[in-house]
Amino acid sequence: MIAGHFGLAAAVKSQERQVPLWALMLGTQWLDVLFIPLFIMGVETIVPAPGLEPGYGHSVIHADYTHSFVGAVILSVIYGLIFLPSWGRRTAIVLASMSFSHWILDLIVHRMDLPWLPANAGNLPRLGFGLWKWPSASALVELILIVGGAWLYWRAARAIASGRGPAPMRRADLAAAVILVSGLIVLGLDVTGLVG
Amino acid sequence: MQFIIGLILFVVVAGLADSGLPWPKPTEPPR
Repeated sequence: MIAGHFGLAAAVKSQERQVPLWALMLGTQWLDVLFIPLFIMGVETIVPAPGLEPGYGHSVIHADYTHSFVGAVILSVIYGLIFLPSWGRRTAIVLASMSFSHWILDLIVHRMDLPWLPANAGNLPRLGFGLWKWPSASALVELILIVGGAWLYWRAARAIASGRGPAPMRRADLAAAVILVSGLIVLGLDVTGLVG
Repeated sequence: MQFIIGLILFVVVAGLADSGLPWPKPTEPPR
């Protein structure tokens, strides 16, 4: 799941309007951003599920540090702490929660590959409800998150822009359109595998 | 690759589009 995380961030922006959108968007992917260097180093891996070719929802992701439950909590707290000094406690908590929401959404779609502890210490049972076994359902959930998030953002943006003339209203429409179109592009690329 | 494209579109492009709106500051209470 990629696009769905961004959709949720847009929805959160509609409720926590003081938090800059870019920080919510980065926060919702913070765990995956940190996954990239570990993936390049071969510490964390992505392999196709047994019997499947690479494709949307076909992956088993061994992200045993960034996507372990405890690892996700620690990394999310760190993300919130980055913004605490300049943006205050409430915004920092929102951003930490935004980061941890990534793990919650991943829990819904992943195929029992999420460990409780970093490096899967203790060999505890892995977690994942496995919605990716039904790619159409998973893609539909992502689509709902994107369309719903863009719509909630649009409503909030127009409310904040109202009474300030036509230019801010056009800006609100533009920003919501960017979110919607970007989400559809990313979801389309993810589902079709057009860019690998 | 779609992850990188997503980051650019949402963090940079959408972030820039959003930044021109009169949202409250991060240190202000929500309204």
